Amino acid sequence: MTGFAHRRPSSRDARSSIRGGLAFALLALLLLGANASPALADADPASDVLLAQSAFFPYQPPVPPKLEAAMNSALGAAARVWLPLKVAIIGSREDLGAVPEFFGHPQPYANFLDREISFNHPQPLLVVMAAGYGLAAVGPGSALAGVPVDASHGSYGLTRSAILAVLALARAAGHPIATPAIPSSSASSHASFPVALLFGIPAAVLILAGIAIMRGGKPHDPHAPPPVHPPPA
Amino acid sequence: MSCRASSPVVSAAHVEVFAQDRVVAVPAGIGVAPPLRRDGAYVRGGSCVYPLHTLEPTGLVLLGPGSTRTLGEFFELWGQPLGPRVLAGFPAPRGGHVAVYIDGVAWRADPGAAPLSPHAQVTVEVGPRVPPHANYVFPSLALAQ
Repeated sequence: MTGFAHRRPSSRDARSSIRGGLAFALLALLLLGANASPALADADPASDVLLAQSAFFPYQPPVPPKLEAAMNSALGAAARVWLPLKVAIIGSREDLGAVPEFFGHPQPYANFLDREISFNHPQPLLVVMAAGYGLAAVGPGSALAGVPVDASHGSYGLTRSAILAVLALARAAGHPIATPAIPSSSASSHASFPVALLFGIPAAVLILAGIAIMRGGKPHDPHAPPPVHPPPA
Repeated sequence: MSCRASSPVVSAAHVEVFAQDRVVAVPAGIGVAPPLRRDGAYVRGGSCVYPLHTLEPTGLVLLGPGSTRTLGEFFELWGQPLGPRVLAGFPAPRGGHVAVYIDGVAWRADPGAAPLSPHAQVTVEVGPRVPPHANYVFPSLALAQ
């Protein structure tokens, strides 16, 4: 372990990194120390991420950047005219870390998460899962009666539902905010995949088959030895 | 362990830190050399990356290929002290010591020697005991980077 620092790019960079990391850790400690319950804290990714930004998005599949921007735009508008709402979008157990038992239970998770991220005052919070919504320090829940969760389009559907839920809550509170531009699911970052699927892969198969036929060999030999990979560095 | 322009991620561990009955956040950007490219709570990259680093402030530690890394190496990259009687600047109380749990089981040796094995749930604490989590559901994304 000794002599580790000299392997860093430079001692100046290292000191800067240490100061930054230490400052962040101490700040977080002070913030968390105000009201957190240690036995519960730090269990789930959202509780850490929501300290530094207003929305937590699912790990998989990734939310398209334009849709993330729309979510952040809605939350920014809400903060300006209404209140600083935070949103946790939970797509799977992966998004809950050490507390996967909350998956499918948005309201209990909202109660749990709110205790983690509230400090001197209750933190308004919206949780979105395929199973429904959870609210803490914001309401009324009846405002979301007309906003069903889109559970059939993965992270995209959940995030779009979250945006619409924020709009509905703000409207019900008497602080309507403008609807941000919400990209369609087909305009997401996955748009290039069907093109590759429809044209690229069949074309590659045809080319490979043609080469195999020209060489008189078989397209695939199931008895051939597996490829050998170099050992990891 | 060297800092490289890119580092393949083959697995991940999760590290939680508690001191004096409070949470110590594990920041994004440990093991990433500045200037950091930040994006909200996340770090998207830097000038180079060690095969033991964090990109998000959740305690998720991304592991590169090669031999098993240790908790001591991680804290050294973080720039925080770790020993039998000190944790991130917090001294152990009289008669106490830094405790490490791996998957909920106490690690009896030197805290710095605790392995960061793939999918290990590691809890480090000093002061009043915080019940450690035994499991963590890891995101598949971390393994695909």
